[in-house]
Amino acid sequence: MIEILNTGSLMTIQDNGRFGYRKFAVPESGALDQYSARLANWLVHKNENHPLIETILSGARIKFHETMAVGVTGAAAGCHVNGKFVPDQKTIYVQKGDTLEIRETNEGLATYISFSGDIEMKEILGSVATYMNSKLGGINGEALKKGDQLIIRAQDCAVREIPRDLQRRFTKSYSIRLMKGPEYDLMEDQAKKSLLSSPFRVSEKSNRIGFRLLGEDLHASTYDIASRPVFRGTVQLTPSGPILLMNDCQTTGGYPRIAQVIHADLDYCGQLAPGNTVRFRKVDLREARMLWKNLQSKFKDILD
Amino acid sequence: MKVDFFLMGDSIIEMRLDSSQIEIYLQLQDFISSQKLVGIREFIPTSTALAFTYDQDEFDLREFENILGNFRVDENAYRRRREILEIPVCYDTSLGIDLGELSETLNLEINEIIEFHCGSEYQVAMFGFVPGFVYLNGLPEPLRVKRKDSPNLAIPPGSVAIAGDQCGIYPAKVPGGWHVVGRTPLSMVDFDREDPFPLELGQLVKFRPIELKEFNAYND
Repeated sequence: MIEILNTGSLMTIQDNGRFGYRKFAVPESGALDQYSARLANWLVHKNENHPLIETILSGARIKFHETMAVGVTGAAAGCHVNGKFVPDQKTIYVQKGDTLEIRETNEGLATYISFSGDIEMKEILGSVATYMNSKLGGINGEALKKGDQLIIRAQDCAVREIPRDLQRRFTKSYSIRLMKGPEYDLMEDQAKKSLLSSPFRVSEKSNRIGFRLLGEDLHASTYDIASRPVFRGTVQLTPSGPILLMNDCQTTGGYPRIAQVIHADLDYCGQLAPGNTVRFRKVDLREARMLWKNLQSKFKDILD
Repeated sequence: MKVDFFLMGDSIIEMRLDSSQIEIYLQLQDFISSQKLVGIREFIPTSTALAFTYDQDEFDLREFENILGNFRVDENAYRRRREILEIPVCYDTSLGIDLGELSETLNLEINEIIEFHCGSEYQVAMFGFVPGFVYLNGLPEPLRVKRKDSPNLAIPPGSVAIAGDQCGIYPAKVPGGWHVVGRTPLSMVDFDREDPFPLELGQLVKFRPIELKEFNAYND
């Protein structure tokens, strides 16, 4: 069993999300940065969809009531066990009675904590991912809170270290690649130019539904369109500026969908912290696919 | 009917036809499913577009383009009437909380609003907003009304509401800007059920008025 002593900004149980129910308006949810979540699970010999803890920014503290191995990846460059610094990128062994703490995150937004055991938790629509708005997944559909206890049947596991090639470090400014969205041409010429040339700042008013982007004014010729499908990585243009939709976004939206982030860069989006800067670059399908393929083969070569 | 498609990033495709009938988009979905294309993950039909997500390691874009020209709308399938699902609704003003205001806005008696509302046949055109929220097409002309300027902060689950040319049913307690005319005792979403959603896209729906007594007794 583990016990949550402190949650930081937001601590939730996640996996890769809920699929097959978008047509009923069920969002996918799941880890904001699935790349890091996958590596955290790999450190404790679990598959990429295994339930783990996502914690936003710093301040998470967890007490272990039994001995197990954990993986820590994402925004935190390491953690503290009983007050002593432990570097990340390598399986961490904690003893019964130990306390693990995410004291600070230099850059990035989400940290993942995986366990060498199965968290006892009920799946809803095939996933334990927490979606707070509809009270799905996690513990009663809520974010984890101080005092929550998770039953984990811990198993032994051998130490692993994430190969240098797969290690990701995060920064304060990102270049994210995207393709035109279906309503790209509703943007005025100046807006098209600004989208791809000027930097945007991630607003403090951001959450798992989406990140508001602050920057040059972008205008569309109309904002009134029929509701059509939107996804993680869709950039919608609202009268009060662009929003980069994330995992908990609704399944349809009635604002112009001006761009779609390519698959290879979605997980970087999940690490955009408030105040970070993002610049967009437009790519074509060929380049997007190549980038995804390279990423996948890197995983395959090293992890399998 | 010609199918236009748009590459929405590198793992989503959206298709459009010159139609705003959910039936047509469901037919298109059936057609594509029947072609046994590999790598398609999930279809998202609406009444103005059909999108699907795909696994780019498996999906063959060229093959998809080739088969798309073979799609034909089956007018017969389209006209074939399906079973109409009857949804009980209590229009008591304690549940149809906006009936009084609507009566003034629409210049209709409350009775007339109810008659119009349950006299019409609707079709599930889309799910959206929150899990299980249905958008129903078929709202009669005299009931068409702009959504509220300031939304209600908490609309009770089961509330049947109208806005624009559509009717909707709130599955859960959420804020909303539609005008509530009544409430159904049926639950529009129940995640403990194997099949959490009682309605499906394209389904035909009618509302059956029930008394407050029947409403209260319904879930006993």
